[in-house]
Amino acid sequence: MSISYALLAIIPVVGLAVFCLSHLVASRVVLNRGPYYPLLAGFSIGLAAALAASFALLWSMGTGAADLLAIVGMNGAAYVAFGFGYFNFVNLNIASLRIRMLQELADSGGSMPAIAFASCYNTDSVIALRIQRLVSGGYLVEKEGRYFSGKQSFLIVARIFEFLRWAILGGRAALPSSADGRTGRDADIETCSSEGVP
Amino acid sequence: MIELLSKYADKTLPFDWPVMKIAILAIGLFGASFLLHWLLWRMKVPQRQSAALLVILLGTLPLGLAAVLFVPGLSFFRPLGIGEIAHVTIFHVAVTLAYIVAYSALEGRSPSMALLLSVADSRGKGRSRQELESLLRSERPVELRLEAMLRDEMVTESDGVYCLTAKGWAWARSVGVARIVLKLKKGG
Repeated sequence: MSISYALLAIIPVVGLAVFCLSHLVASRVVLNRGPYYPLLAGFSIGLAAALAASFALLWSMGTGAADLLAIVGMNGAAYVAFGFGYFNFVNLNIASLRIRMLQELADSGGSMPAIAFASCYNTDSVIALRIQRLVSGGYLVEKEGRYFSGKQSFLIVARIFEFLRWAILGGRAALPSSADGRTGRDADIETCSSEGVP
Repeated sequence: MIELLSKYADKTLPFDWPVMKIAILAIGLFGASFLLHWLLWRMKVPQRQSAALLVILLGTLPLGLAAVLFVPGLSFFRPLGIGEIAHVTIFHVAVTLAYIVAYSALEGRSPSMALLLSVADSRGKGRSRQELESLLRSERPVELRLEAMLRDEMVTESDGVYCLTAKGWAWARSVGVARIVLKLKKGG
């Protein structure tokens, strides 16, 4: 049992390796589908590999149904956790403001005058880019000059983060006051975060 | 308490499911470390949150494993051999890293999520472009990140010129290599 069990233990890591390789191949083969499609394809292939390998090993060990479900679930959860980390690493390139700013500095030889830097990447361009991304992704819908909610998936993620922020940080979470002077619920809801946004 | 738990486990967990106990141990260990983090955070949020989280969540793993190995009342959950210890460890490390990544999203503020929540909470009236712009300007996304990079010593500023430090170069290069290999466009 020990060698089989050791193999069973490292399946999430193997699944992550399959995810990385599949993502690499998909990002070179699948063009013009945006950066998230190859990620989703790679993640799915890695998940299928991790689950199939767990099932096969447990089956060969003659494990009972309850053990099988528990360990497949545990390996699946560990794989998803590793995959989430890899997704966020890749997403740094897609959505992280901080990484973009570091790359702007690196591309200019490692230094840049503050004035040139501000003209290259500033708050106005960040705002325009964010709104444009949300509209083109269908998360915001523009009607007669006003913006309304579109697809709900990203909003649900935002609500989950908002709940977690409240549950974990509680009253200690630093709540910003918005520029137009709104307070309370309207201000509270603008405190969640993630660089990992489409 | 430990004896009570042990007796309860003896009565309710089938002994002929040896692998199931590893899943329970792994989930229980992470649950305990999360509970410890939550309790500590309710008392005082540390200055360096991610580092403190890493210490608490990963530190619970050896302590928990030592407890099940040496505390007689927890012997039911004792792992049999290096394979089972590796299994619990891999699960714990994976979930810990994922949680720390997710936690960083609670620490800071995402401009995109702020926009979405603001529009969703407009109660059907929507938001004008000016309202959205004013919301994000108040968040100062570029300035705050520059301040964070200066504080984290990724960038230095002298005589009105920003310069990358060795740490900043390391980040820019490592993530930049991934961008080139994966054929990604510049983001941000």
